[in-house]
Amino acid sequence: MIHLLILLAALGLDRLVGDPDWLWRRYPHPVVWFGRAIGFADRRLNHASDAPQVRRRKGKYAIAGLLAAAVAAGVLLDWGFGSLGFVGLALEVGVVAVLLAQKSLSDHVRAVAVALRTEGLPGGRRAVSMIVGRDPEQLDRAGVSRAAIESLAENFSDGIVAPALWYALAGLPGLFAYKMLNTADSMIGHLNDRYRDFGRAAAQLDDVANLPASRLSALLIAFGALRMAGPGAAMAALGAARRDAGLHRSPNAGWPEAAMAAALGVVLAGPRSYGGVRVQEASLNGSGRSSVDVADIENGLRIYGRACDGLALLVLLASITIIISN
Amino acid sequence: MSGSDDAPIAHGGALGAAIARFGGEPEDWLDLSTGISPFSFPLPPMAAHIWRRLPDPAEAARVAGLARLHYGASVDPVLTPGSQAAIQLLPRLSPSVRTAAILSPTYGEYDLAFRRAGLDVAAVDSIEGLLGADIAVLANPNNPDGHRHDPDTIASLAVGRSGRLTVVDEAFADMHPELSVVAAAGRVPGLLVLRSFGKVFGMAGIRLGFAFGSADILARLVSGLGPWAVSGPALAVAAHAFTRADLVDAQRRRITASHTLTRAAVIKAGLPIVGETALFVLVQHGNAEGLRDRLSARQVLARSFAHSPDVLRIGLVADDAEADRLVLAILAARKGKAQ
Repeated sequence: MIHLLILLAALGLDRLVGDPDWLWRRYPHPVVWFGRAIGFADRRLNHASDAPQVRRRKGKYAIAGLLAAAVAAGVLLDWGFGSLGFVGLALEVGVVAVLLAQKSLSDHVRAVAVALRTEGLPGGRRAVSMIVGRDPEQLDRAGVSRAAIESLAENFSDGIVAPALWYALAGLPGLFAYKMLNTADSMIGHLNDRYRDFGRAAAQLDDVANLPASRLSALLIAFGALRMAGPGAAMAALGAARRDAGLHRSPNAGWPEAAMAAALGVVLAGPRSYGGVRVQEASLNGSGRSSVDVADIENGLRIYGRACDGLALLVLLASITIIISN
Repeated sequence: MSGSDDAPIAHGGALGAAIARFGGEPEDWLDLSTGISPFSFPLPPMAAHIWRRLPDPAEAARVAGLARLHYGASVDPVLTPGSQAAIQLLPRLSPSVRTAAILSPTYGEYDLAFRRAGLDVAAVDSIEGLLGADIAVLANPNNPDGHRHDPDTIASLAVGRSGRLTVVDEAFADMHPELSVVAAAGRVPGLLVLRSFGKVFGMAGIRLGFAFGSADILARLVSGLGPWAVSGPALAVAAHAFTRADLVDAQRRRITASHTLTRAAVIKAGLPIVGETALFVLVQHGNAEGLRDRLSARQVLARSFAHSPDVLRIGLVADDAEADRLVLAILAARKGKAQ
């Protein structure tokens, strides 16, 4: 119960303040600590000389150890905050807000739209390279816009809805474990030679951990579409998520991306050539408009804002339900 | 079978429907949903009168003679606007037909044409099952499983059916001449062999097929088709193809090389091949329709079958670039973590 109220406050705080630069220039962001721990495990346990089975096994030990450490840190902090009374509550709100990314995500995506509008394609490429891994030099205007919207939808799920959900379910230990797992997936959950085996356990666990949030985020995007563009857009978002999510090679990312694609009436992802190499991504809402532009990023941000409202509303309703039923 | 008898069958090659669902332009797509050669045979120069005049019956007769030589038949065939036109007319090719048996699963239009004609249709799973019916149909090699039947067994079946109509669909037999019973057509009463021009020559668009059989059957087929059934351009293309043995050999070699490429690509992508002809491979996958959709979302079109939910048919890729694209698309379409 108290977790839900803390979450509600944290969602509000994160929405307003986000991740202020001045703070993280002085102190390392908690996710940086997680990253250091993962890097340490990687250096100590992941050896190219080991057989694939050995690397897989060590990868399991590594992620188990990292998750145990994250849970332990969560339990410790929980206990510490619990003994500080009101101050502890406020601190916990702060810690949860730090691990949510509503404002920082919208700031980064908005920067792409602003750069496209004011500086054209070169500015858009520079801004979008801050949030996606693909080579920005190969992207045209539609490609930059599409990348920004895809990133917005996917990170809404694993940067906001998933941590909120895990915190609501399991408090600070759940939130820390999720952030550890998700950070590990982004560092070692790759299909290249170095991480195919060592990162396998982390990648698979991350898929499981994101499963509920990805579906919920599609619902919330549909809610955002309902508020922004009416029931037609909301139904389109739900229909596309159900129909097209399975086309994506990730079992999760397709849900929010397909919902966002249909809410905006555009095609997202899809096959395209980068420097002659064809990238085999599934097109989501393939019958939609393929000429994606800045206006779609801006509409996507509006839907995103309403979807964040929807998440807060959901937490509020859950709190009220629990209060009434007690 | 359930559902409406008259519902049209979904075939491969329906790129327009795939684009409506998954987007893109036709040139973005790699269409592997048919068993048609990816290489179109070189066109002959077309005289202006080919477009202006009605097709000349004498020219049609000349093409029939060339087709007899090309396919190694004993009689001149009837030219049809594709095998499909002959299939539609099968119920009318012999008197008082009530029952039909089809060695199944196979090309779905036989079943549909017979049902629409009010016949009692049986799907059978062995050649013996074909003995009794008024019309018997089998495809050799079969589509989509690539199953091959011994031509002697087929000839014995036709003889054993003592004059009743036995249809052997050899649409995919061009690259497998050892399987053909075309030489027996015209000699065994009731035997009708259908050949397809478009598949091996990569010209399904011109709609041309050949029916070889005994004179009485062919006469009914001719009267069912009516005059000018095959277009002048189709006659010109076929006459050119059948007189250029060098180009036909080159076409066969390209198809064989493509088939090797396609096989290697599919195996590299980890899909087991469970059947094939020279013009397609059939692969196994637990959820073939799901895989087809995930490939479609990557603008690679393959063919799944309602009657066999665990197989996917993949046509030939034209070159190394298409082979690489197919491998990457299959790997990406099978569930897994992104790079």
